[in-house]
Amino acid sequence: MADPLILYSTNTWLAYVIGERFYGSQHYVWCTPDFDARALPRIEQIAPPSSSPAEIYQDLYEDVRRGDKHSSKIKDNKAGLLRGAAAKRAASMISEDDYRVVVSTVKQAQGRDFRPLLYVIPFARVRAIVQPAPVELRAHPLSREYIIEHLPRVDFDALELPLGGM
Amino acid sequence: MALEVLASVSQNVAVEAGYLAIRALKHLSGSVVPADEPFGAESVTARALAQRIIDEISSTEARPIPNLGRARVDYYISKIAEIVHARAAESIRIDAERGDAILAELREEFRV
Repeated sequence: MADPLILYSTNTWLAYVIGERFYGSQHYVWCTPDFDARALPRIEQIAPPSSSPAEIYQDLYEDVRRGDKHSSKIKDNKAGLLRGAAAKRAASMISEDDYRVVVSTVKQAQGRDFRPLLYVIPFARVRAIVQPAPVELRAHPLSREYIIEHLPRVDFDALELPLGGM
Repeated sequence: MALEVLASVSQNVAVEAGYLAIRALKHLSGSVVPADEPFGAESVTARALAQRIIDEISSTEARPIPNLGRARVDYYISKIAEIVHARAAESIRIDAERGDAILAELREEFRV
């Protein structure tokens, strides 16, 4: 199969700014060339729509717009950010003080800080650092999903879609 | 239920096990797959604990994880995430004022 042209990933604004400020503009992303599984021809719709960046964006956007304090997506994102900080601290990639600041920042974050951003990543720029996601964790064994552990900011665009209402 | 165990193991094990269990749930997978092992030997313990959590959820619900349905998955993700939030912060003194100040700065600087 030919290399994809573009990879897409949905992340939160908070994850983005923490990567920018504390991790040297490096970002951990889970990405796929299929922005919206619903937009593909039926025969190519391998992954369930709920796993596509478009659907993740919409779900997160709705939770933030409604001010849903019990949003599992926001709680999940928070847990991931805290784990990321703990892992970086364990690897001595950040200082104890930075760890405390990151955790304090995540703890104090408000609903809108978890609004979604869409990362648009030209594949050619990340070919050397992109890794296929473990098959067991893909939405479908045949779906095209990748992980980039240290994605430099210069290699993607971050977009906030003008959906309104927020 | 193994979720309670997350309160009694070391902080790194709890945070990592919670993270791995959430990831397995989120992807509707019955298996815990670590992408890396940032906490050394504690990562191995965390992986085993995460698998135990997933197995117990499956047993409590009397169906495999891929058949759980989104509402139940979200319920367990929320429960586990809340424990991770608490455990990740317990060894440090949260500086709410500094957190608020950094957020204000970041909101100003990164409007995207």
